Amino acid sequence: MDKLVDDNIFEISLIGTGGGYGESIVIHLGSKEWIVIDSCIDPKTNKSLPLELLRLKGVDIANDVKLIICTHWHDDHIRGISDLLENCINARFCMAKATDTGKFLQLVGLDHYKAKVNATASSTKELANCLKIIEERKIPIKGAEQDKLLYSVSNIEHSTNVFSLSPSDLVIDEFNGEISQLITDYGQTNRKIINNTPNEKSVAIYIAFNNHSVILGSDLELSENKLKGWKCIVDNCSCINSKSSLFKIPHHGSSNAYFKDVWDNLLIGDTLANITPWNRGGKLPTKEMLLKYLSHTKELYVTSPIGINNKPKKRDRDLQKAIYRFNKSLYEVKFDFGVIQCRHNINQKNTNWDIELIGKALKVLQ
Amino acid sequence: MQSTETLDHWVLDHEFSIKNNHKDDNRLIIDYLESQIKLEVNDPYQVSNKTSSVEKKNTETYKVPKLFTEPLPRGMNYMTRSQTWVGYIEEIKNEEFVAKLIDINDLTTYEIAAFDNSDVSKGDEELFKLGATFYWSVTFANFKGQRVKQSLIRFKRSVFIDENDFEEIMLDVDKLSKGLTWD
Amino acid sequence: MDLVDKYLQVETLSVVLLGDFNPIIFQPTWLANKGLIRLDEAENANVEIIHNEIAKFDLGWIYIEITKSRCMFKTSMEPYFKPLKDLVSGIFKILKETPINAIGINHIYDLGLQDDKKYYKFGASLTPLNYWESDLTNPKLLQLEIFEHNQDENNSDSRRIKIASSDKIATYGVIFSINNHFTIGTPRSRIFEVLENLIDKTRPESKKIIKNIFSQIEL
Repeated sequence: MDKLVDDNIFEISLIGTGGGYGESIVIHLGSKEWIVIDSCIDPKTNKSLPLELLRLKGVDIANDVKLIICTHWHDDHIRGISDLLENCINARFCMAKATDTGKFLQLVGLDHYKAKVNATASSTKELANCLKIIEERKIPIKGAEQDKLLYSVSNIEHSTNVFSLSPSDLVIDEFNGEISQLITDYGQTNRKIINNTPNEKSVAIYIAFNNHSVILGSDLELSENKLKGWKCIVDNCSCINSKSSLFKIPHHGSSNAYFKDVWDNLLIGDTLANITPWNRGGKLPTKEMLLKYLSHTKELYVTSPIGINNKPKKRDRDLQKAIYRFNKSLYEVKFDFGVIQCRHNINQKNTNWDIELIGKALKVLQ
Repeated sequence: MQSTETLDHWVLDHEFSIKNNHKDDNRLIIDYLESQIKLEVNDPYQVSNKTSSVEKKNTETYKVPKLFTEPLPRGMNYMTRSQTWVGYIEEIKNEEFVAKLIDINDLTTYEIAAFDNSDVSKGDEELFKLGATFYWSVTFANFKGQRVKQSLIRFKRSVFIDENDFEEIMLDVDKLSKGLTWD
Repeated sequence: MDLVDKYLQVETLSVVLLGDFNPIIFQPTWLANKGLIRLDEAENANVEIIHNEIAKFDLGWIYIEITKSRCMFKTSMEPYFKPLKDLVSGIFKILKETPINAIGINHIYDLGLQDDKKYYKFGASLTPLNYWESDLTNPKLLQLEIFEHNQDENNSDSRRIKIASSDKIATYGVIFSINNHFTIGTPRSRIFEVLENLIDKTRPESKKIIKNIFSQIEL
């Protein structure tokens, strides 16, 4: 991986971990201005992978990282983000807007306390730490919502704008009810918060630079309701003014997040499409979905192989035999590191991207 | 000051452990049971055949009450060479549940497994909910000399919050809430 | 399999608290009512005595002994080391006014050295027996005790390691008993720091001590 040198290069690096340890996107907007979306870790070192990548690239982390976007509140998606925020001293912090901040903080406070007294593991430890850092720095949180301009780089040669496409107003309103339910269900118990609800609150991002644009789908899913999810974006987003040539496919390429209208209306033909796979339980993307994506584009990449055979961790032979005897279903969620690095000259008119595959990342062939 | 050592554990030869710290307790119990018991104590100088044999006859014999009888170690129950995980229930289906498992000896990558709902002990059923924490162990047990491989699940029981804790949390939340703004 | 596991027969964890206790409270039914153990465990507990001065009972997986000045919780079942920790922590969160002056975390390892050569070599390596040979016939080591004091401005902690021979579980048996002693002054929150964090910390430390001894002796 080479260091970035040119101010005119727009660069997106999608970091994947195989699905169990989060994912992250590190973006150079041009003119040495960087943003990061979410965070993930190497479970062996617990280090934030986007932070390590920025260091490897020789970025002035304290000054040049301008925005950190948190697309989920649950720890599983943002591991290491508080470490990242702590180091990026001048970065603003962005997350989906919560209209009842107090109630949201109650949930986080109760959850954080559980971990502090060892009652159970926290599911909001990262967010709790981020909020503390923000409070100490006395800077406002950037609330993500549909069509909101989150950040802008403007100079003589180019302008780059970062927009949030979601969550919609309806989803933000419903989130308050969801928090109340979570407080009721988990608040004063010693249970870890499990959040299996649809990823409607996920923050999808649209970045426009000169005549180009990219859509980063996060984990946003399709909803029956036109006022939520991808239908709402396709129908209502006014910030989208050109078809994108790069698409981070949402939610590990699952069928719940696939919407044909996105491909037909928001993306160019043969758009560069990236997926972070999910190698837990039902593996994603499925073969059917891969074929579907390949019907839209030949430029399809994944951060690591899909559907790898999962076995338990290696242990002493007698123990392994005993464990297998009692539970054959046990398997390890492996850490599979891969980066899809995509570069584009901001001033270039064509839509050709330079791609570099790092670690276990690979191109999906028909 | 009293010791925090395990003084009466069967592994330690009594001849060499410090008994003095228990003498007050012993006195109380003996007083309490005085009219009913006979006391018998073993010759303190008899040791195992691996060391030199020196015998001394006692002039008195006392029968130790049941309270002081140490369980015979070879008849004890113990479990060793175990693998233990901390589990979090992520999904509950009709007949099984799926959990995320953290090996207590290796906190790096995690594992996933499915368990039968019937593996949950009756007394733990009230705790059997989404997000619940449990310990799963696979172990080599010894029950009074009988060796057995076992798999057991036990739900974590912890006291974490009372009124004072709750107030403390809400005060912190309030302070944080006042310090946070949105734009 | 590491050196300790090669010889390990039984591992015991015991937590001892010194303070001011009321033994008669510590009944299995009280523990069950507070949700700290299962109801069926309380119903099936093997109670030796419950009295103002002393309480002793066995729940099958843990042995509990309480006097007015001393509490002990002990188990030789590895899968129950964490539940033991939760139980002790839970009890003293509920009994938050109970004065506690010190906590001892004891890790006891019962090892079998397999044959007389290893057994006598172990003893002879730990302490030089040649000093005694001019006066004693065929001297052997029976017990060794090492003490470490950790004092800072707030606490006076210590560690005491006893190594002794014992044939109670295994022939050619050797016991390592490692007592980690923590004083509790103010703040009282140290109680939970010790119970929640230091049990998990002292266990691998204790095993490491034994592993280091074995690696230097070359049995």
